[in-house]
Amino acid sequence: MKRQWIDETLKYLLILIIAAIIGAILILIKGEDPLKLAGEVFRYALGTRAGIASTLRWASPVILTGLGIAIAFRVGIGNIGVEGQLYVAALVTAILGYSLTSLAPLTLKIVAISGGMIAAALYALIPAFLLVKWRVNEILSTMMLNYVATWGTEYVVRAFFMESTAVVPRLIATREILPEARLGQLMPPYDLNTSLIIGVVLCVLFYLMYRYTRLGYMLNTLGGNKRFARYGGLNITALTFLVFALSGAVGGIGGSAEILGIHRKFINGFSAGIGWDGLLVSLIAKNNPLGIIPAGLFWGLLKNSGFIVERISSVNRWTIYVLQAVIVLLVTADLYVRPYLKRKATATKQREVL
Amino acid sequence: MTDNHVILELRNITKHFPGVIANNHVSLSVVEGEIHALVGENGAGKSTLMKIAAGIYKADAGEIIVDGKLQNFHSPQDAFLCGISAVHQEFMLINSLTVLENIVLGFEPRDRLGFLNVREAELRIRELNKKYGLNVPLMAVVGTLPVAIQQQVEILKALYKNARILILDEPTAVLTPQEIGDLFKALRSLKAMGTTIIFVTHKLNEVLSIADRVTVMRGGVVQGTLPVAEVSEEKLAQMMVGREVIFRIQKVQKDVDRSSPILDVRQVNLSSDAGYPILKNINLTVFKGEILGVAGVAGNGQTELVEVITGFRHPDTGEINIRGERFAYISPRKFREDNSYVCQDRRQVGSSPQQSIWENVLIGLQEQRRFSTRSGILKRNAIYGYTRDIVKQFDVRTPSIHTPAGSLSGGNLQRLVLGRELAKDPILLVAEDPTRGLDVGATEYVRTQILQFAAKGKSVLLVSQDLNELLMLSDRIIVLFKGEIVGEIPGDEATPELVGLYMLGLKRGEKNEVAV
Repeated sequence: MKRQWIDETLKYLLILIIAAIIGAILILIKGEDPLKLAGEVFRYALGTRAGIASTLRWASPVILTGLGIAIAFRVGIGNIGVEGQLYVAALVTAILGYSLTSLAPLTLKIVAISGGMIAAALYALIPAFLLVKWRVNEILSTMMLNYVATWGTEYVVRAFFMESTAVVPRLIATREILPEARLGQLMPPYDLNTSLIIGVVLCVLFYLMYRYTRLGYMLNTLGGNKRFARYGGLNITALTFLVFALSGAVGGIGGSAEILGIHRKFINGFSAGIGWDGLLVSLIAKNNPLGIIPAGLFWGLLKNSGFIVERISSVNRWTIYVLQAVIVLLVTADLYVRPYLKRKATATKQREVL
Repeated sequence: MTDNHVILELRNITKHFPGVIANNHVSLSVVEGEIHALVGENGAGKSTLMKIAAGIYKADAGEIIVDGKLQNFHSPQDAFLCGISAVHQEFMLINSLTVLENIVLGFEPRDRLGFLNVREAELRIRELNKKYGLNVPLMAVVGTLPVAIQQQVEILKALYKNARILILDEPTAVLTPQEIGDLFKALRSLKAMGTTIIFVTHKLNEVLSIADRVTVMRGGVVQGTLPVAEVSEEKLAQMMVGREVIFRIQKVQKDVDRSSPILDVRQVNLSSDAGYPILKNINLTVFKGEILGVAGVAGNGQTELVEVITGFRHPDTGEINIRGERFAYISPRKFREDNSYVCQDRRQVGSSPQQSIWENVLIGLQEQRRFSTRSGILKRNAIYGYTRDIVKQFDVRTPSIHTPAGSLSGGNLQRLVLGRELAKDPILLVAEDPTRGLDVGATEYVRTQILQFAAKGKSVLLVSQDLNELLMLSDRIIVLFKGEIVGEIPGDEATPELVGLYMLGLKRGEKNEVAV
């Protein structure tokens, strides 16, 4: 067990080193000094109050969406529809957030977020139903439903909830939520808010659930070997519906929190891909709920670094996107490197024996 | 064997494994065009020796001489270039590809532009197929074929690659008597065409019926090589075991209570998705204390019968009664509540390889109050204790109960599965090929456990491809042929020949005799 930990840590370090080298080369090509630039970026991102707040702010939504996706991926369900599910959640949260005028602040927040979760869960049940009833591949259906959700919410907002007649995308928005519905800021005046705490707590709760509960055992078994799960009498249909709903609901909080904590109204196109970023975070974390926390924080750091780099040098944020891609590739590529390493290890062992 | 040209010679082969000497100065010479049997008990070193000859293992010492030339094999590829090809017990086939694709795999013929061109290969393979009297459908997907045909695919693959020496490692272990007959026919025609065959087995009657010469191994040492004409089964057995008697499982005396049916299947019919009948009007009863054996050539409905009884498939019509409770169909969950099921595929269905041993044991029991609280928290200590008891009682050799089940050997995994299924004290056990692929020790263990279970007044439905096993364990044997029960034979009257006749559809019981 301990050895495995060391192995994993070393592997992630190696990935970071490779990414750093590639990053350095890209920066050199741009004619900047990579060491100096990296030093500056880290000083801003981790050494200033504004930088830390910004890093954590970007980590918050991807921890939630990452966890939502991991919940599905763990059991072999390819829900890549979190991006769409969080739009549905966000719209419902925004509407509840400005219309429920008679509720106490805490109740209002809880109701607004819960409403979003329920909406996202119901939306995620559509692909679940298609999968169970007609074996429609969930990767395809959730992907398509992303478009339905992003354009569908835009349509609904325009048709029913818009005050102005603007056509500029950023102005296609609902009314602003009530001040009581806003999530508390953790480091005023910065955007960082309590959704970070919600995300971290949920990650820990899900970790404990998988490890210590009956439901966790059943989900682990379904993820481990579906045929065995069926043989053992687990209700696979019910578990599948449950996983879709949980995945959508948790991912949905990522959208709701952006509305209540940052934008204060549903704005068309507000997400800027946090659902997709969540997919990458869950890949880096290998679908482990506890791993989602560091992976999400790291992702926030990268995202923030992208903004900083643009401000202080001629390098643009796409360089950071390249690094993100490299890191994700290396983490997933490890699946194929591993057996090779193992083979080599046994070969050496055999030689020792002979 | 007109000339006595030695095509393959192994000289003083020695191979150590940690703690054992698998081969100790073993020498073997094989004459061109003969069928050379290599016999010995499990662990005698025959498989190791053959793996060395096929380039899979490297010997610690010794020489391999092919056609008079000293060879040094570093890989199966090297052996193969010398014309040596092996068909292993576990087939090296890709289930999702067709037979043709499997055969050309790794040697794909290409045209000048580098595109795959299987036409020529296909013609050649068809010719080989016909020439050697094999019966392989080239366009069929391998995973859908019965084991016996898959084996022929392996042989065809070797022939396609111009094998001159064919090593068959226990080829009959997975075959029915009829299929064994077909295999032997094919081997004889291979021999007639000049192929040399090394036939590894521990079944002596097979040696006598097919081989020209036989080499006996025991404890990693060659006991001798003799022409088959000069040996008897008794003599071979003595050489193999080193003493005169051969161990047989002692059948326990027990009473079958024919007044209390435990499993009663009535009028069950099942059709495939395409509408072909798979099971036709099945009626069967397993009584208290009885082991009912189900025989049949693979693909005659045994698997589906088990699936219907254990709830994996819904029958079109009919009913299943278990201890008087009537079901039009049953769910796997309901079935496993009071009954147990040891399924054929212990790695893909009967266990979850990446999960720990305790997680594999808990399956189906997680709702019980002794293993989880009402609020849904697992009681880990209780689960661990229960798992440790099973591991201990059924002698599962593992470093810990947290080890992934997939890392257990076949025999150990089957002990674990059987332990899990018997520890919950079921009323009825359905077992499908419970000893498939296990070595002698594990096989004996599993069979003894099944017998002891029935001796406690429990019931067993035993479906097996191993006719010997059925004869050894069953109180009664029914035979499935094309989805129908065509015969029922009391255990003490059953002989391989009689059961074989039913299995081939050459004999049928009277209708009223069949329907109990």
